[in-house]
Amino acid sequence: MEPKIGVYICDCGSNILGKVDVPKVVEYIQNLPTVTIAREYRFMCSGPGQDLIEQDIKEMGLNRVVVASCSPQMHEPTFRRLMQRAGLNPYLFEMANIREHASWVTDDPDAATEKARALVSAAVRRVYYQEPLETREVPVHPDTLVVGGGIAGIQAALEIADSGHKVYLVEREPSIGGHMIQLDKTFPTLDCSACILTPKMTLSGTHPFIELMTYSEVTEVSGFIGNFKVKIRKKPRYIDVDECNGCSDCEKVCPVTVPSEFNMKLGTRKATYRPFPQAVPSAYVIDKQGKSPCSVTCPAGVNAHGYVALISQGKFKEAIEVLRRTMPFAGVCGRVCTHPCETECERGKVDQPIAIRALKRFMADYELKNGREKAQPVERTKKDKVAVVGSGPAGLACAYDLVKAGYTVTVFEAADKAGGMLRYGIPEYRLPKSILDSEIDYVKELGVEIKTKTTVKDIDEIKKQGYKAVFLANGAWVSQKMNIPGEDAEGVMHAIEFLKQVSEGKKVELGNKVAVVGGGNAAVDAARTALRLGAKDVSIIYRRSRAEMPAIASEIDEMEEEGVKIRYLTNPVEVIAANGKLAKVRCIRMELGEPDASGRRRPVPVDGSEFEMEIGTLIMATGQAVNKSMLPGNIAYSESGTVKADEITYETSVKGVFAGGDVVAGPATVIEAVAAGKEAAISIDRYLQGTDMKEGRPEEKERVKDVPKKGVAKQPRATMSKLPVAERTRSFKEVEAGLDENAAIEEANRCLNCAVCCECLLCVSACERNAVRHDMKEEIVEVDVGNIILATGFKEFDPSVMQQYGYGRLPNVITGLEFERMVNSAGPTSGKIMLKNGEEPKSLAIVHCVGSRDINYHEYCSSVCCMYSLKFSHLLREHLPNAEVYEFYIDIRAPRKGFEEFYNRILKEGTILYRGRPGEITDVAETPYEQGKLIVKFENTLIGEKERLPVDMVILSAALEPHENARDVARIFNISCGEGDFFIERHPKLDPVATMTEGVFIAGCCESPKDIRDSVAQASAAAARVLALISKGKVETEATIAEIDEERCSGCRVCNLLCPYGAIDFDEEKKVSKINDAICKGCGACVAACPSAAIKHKHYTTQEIMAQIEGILA
Amino acid sequence: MSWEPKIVGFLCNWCSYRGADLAGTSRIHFAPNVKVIRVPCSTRVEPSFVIKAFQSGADGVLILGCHPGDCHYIEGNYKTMRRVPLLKKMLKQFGIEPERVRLDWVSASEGQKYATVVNEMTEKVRELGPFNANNGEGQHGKN
Amino acid sequence: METETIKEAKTFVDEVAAEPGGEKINECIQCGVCSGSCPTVEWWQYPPRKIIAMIRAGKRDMVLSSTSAFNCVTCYSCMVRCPRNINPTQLIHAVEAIAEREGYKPKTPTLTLHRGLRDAMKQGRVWEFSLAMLFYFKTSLLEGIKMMPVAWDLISRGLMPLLPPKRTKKGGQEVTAIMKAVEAMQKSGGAK
Repeated sequence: MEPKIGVYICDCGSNILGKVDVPKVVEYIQNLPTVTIAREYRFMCSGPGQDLIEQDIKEMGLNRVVVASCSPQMHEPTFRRLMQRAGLNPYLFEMANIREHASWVTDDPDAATEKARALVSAAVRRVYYQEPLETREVPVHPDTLVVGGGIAGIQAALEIADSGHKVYLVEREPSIGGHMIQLDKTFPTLDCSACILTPKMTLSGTHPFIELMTYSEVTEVSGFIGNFKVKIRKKPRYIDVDECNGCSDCEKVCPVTVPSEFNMKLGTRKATYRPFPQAVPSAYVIDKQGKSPCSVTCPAGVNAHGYVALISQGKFKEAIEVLRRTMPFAGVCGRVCTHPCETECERGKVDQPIAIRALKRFMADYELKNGREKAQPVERTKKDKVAVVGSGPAGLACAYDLVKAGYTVTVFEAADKAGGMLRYGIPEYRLPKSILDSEIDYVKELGVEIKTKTTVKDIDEIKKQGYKAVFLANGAWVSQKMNIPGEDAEGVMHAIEFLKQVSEGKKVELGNKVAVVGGGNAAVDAARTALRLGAKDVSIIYRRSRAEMPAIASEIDEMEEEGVKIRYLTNPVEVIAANGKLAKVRCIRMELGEPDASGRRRPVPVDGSEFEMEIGTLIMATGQAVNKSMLPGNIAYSESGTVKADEITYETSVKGVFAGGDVVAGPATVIEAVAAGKEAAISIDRYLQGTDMKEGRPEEKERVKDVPKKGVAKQPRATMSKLPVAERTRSFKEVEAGLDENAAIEEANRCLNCAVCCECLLCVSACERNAVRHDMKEEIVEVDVGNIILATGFKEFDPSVMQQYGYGRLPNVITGLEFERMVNSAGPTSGKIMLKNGEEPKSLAIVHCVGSRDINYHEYCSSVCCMYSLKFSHLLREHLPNAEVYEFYIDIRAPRKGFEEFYNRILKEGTILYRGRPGEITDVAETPYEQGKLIVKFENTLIGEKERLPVDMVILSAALEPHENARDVARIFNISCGEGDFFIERHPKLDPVATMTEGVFIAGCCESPKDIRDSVAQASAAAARVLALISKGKVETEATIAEIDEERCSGCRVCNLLCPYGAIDFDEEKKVSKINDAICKGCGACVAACPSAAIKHKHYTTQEIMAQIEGILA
Repeated sequence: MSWEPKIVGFLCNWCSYRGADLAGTSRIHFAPNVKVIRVPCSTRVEPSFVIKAFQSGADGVLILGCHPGDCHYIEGNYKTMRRVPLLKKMLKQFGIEPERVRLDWVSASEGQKYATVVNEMTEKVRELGPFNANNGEGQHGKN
Repeated sequence: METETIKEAKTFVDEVAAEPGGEKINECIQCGVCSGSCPTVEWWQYPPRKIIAMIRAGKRDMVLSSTSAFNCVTCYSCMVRCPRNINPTQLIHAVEAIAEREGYKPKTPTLTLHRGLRDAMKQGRVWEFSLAMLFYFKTSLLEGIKMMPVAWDLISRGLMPLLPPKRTKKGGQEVTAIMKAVEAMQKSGGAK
């Protein structure tokens, strides 16, 4: 049918007519060939205006309509409805915006008229090519998602739920209530905030139609109005909400205390906590931010944070129990461990790391001093027997874990006594044998049998004795030779043999001058041992420099204190004997060249730098190797000569035979050996149970990332006293003394509690309902909803950035929310207003507009601060009747019902208001009276005088701003952020609760700052809109979507990946692409890209737009 | 009447068109030379629209979309960001000054920015002079 | 009479708004942060916020004859804190410029110092000793005598030479030329 176009140009009163010569445009348009009628009318959108169009349609048989008036954002729906009433398809309609885009933006009438003419012509040409479009109806899912559990979210949820429709109320904190529950009294009625809110909160928690998801966040939204799919991440509470009855037993035993966010950090809470007594749900929650760096770094997975936290509370018995969950070597590792945990300790970024090793030793020493209770033997729950070869740290750790798992374990030890390197390698002055014995006894008390003086190397023999699995932990005891001439002379010893003999109590002959070759712990141990045996002159010969010495740094320091000299960059090249006995050593100087495989710079001999040293004893500590003669014959070795074992399972080449510790890794640390033993225990257990050995290994641990350190005062690390040097070298008495009780508690209190919850598990045993579950994981839930209401609220502006007001720097400068918590009788000070020193303030200043109305921070006015500041002076009058209260304002904004009256009331009460925004707040006194006070420097603008006002306390009425992640939230829900990151409403006057995305509504302060009453009103409005849609039950799909012409499609599939919604599929049979019309939103990305021009964008066809372009330029 | 630049503007419905409306409701005055065609997303703008505009008498083309990251259709403006520079390269090869085409981002709350962009674009095109497809001198000469 | 004052108000405000530095005078919300921050405001006849209010009320003579503007030491505290980013520092200096152009010479020591400094700058270097003597001579001999110990301290430590400084070798003539040009511009009606 031939298009018959009616064009209607609106005057819009004088809005358009005032600039645009409408009659002239009408005349021009009337003369266009395709135009049937062109008319002018005063207000096209009015009733008579619309009737005019309808009449023309009926009488003249018009089938296309153009209205030139305001923005289509304004009235396109209005006129489309008119089209429908008149019996025409609403898509045969075009609007030309000659108001916002023409008459309002220029003061040149000719330009405006010309622009209007062009825009209307364009519309006429476009409408010619428009086609009728149909929409489908899709049902609206009756469930609703409300995001945010503050007053707005609660209100919206209750209203929708009361109508009998289901609501998911998602809140990211552990309890609903938002900021309103933090307030004391609300203006202007001075209602107690909690009193009016808690009934609504309780109702939300128990309402049959509200599913409350607290401690949860929305992560993904897809779909469209009526049909949203929402993914919600439920963070693990570690406490079963249904079981928990809020008795607080867990809280009482928790050793970790952190600042309370709910109380604005004016008070504290425990790691397991309930944000406030009236929380909904009333269950507790455990704040776990991941795993503390110390625990994550320990190779054996010892929960260092756990025992440090318990020591800080004086719970020494519980502390050592935490360690014993992982391994038995509190005293041993507390003396000899290389403490990688301390290197990672976050406290080290403030001043120095926590002395974790010293604390570990403390709890072991404390237990021994007060008498260690015998351990209870573990019940045998498994039928299998396991053999462990070697009773060093690896073997004992493996046996320890296996016996606790219920196995029968026998440890075979070739030497006279158990302990391996711990006994025979580490000297007495570092690790007294009594400590070692006590801890080995503990292992035996659990039920591990240790057979000393028993060598085992034939695996078949072992198996015949009934052992189903074997762990080889032989260690690396063979000293590596240097391979220099004369090495076999008398007087040349090897460090490991030397140390073993001394440990066994055997007498060793030493010359007066002793030299030890090597830079590792064995060399240092040998040198210090030699000193204690009476050698007069002991020196170390090391081929690299100090920086490359692998020995523990504190050991090297102590060794030097004791008088051992170190010759760096020196290497022996020949042993010179006299009569078969060692007389001299020829050495050569070295210099450092390129790094070798270990990353350390390779030492290179310097030609011609040889020299000779007279030496009585030469001790070689140049590396250790595995003794293959002590190992089974059929075992495979790695390239470096150690036993080959799987990285994850520690299984060797022989099935059922596992190996770990030095025998696999080469000489390494005690804690690494313990770690290997523990891993092997897991493997052996799984092997014997027949389950997969590799599954879930290695275990992924999430190290906590950002640890707040603000406001932590520096405090030096505890140090242990050491024996004086003179005493040290005369005996094998222990050099380091250990911490005393007070020092230990103080040191443990330096811990920052990085992950917050330290997993000491005291809460588990304290809970009578067994509601604590530390193994809870986060849960991702997917729900279907038809509509979404965002009520995510605000956060308080942080005035630290305003240096001139001293927040964070000067004591007794606080923000509005901090004051609310202080004045609240249920708050951290029980309603007492007090200064940092505990005294009551006698004078206070309340400063308005902090961060608001300020181009440097937020240009907008936060709307509620004037009222809440006035409220504060009223509350102060109640709490501190004799205090002087001053308010500093620029303008008083008291626009709503009861607000002006409230202002008047405050004035009557005698609060002094000064008009003048303070320039700064300082503590620099200029007179004796000002000493110790905060001085407000301001101009009293009403009298024009600059003044200094000293007060005790300053309250900053800080701005309301959106949350930090507002932009990210907007992206998830596909809405936009505007000024200052608040969410944008569809129309600032006529549609303040809808957004540009259909089906997503906003309410409360997330849209803009407002008080509680307005938040409630907006929430009710949003709820009403949602209910209207639910009641309607269906929505129309988009009409202006894309469609692929199968005939033209070449199957190139360029479009498939372009669609942001994945709406384009490829039909394998027909070899063409196809668009899902329910998903397509009509953006046009595919249309523009199609090389075959096979995609039609309904209502935005290329033909229509080309016509529009021509019209504009005609 | 002296020559006035004729510029066709393609504005996306969700951000830049609303920004232009805001300029209007705020009564900001700016150069009247840009005439607007509303598209759902800046990504709908095909290179052929731009060529058509020049063929039909435009001296410049202005394409406005949402700020990257804020597209109502999630990624549309990223695709526009890829297309337009390629188009401009092509135009240069045809002998058309690439400055005659401008891609920019205007959000729904940036009325003032819209006005500024329009003014800048108008002045730029005015400097470049009228578009003449038949000047025959390729990229080296104007009229 | 009232109509005239309004007209006066309009013209004086426009005048200041047209002066470089004074462009944003109409945006001031009179909050008083500038006065509250100003470290020398005790010596101002009217604090800076009030000066702006007086300009907007058309009190041309009162403003230009006041000593306020000449006491600004350009510390920029007000500019940093102004919630409308008006830059009161520049605005006050704009008022100063107008006052000087119109030949107002309010009695304030800082004005004497300014003028003295400027004359001294003609040489490219400041002869502090002479400038100080001149300053105290013109303002208060008593104050000058009180400052003698300070003066002696500076002189004895070589920080304030008694003899005039040598003319700047580098660019001395250029500095003189710049100063002459500035003077000429000011006489002809402002740097436009």
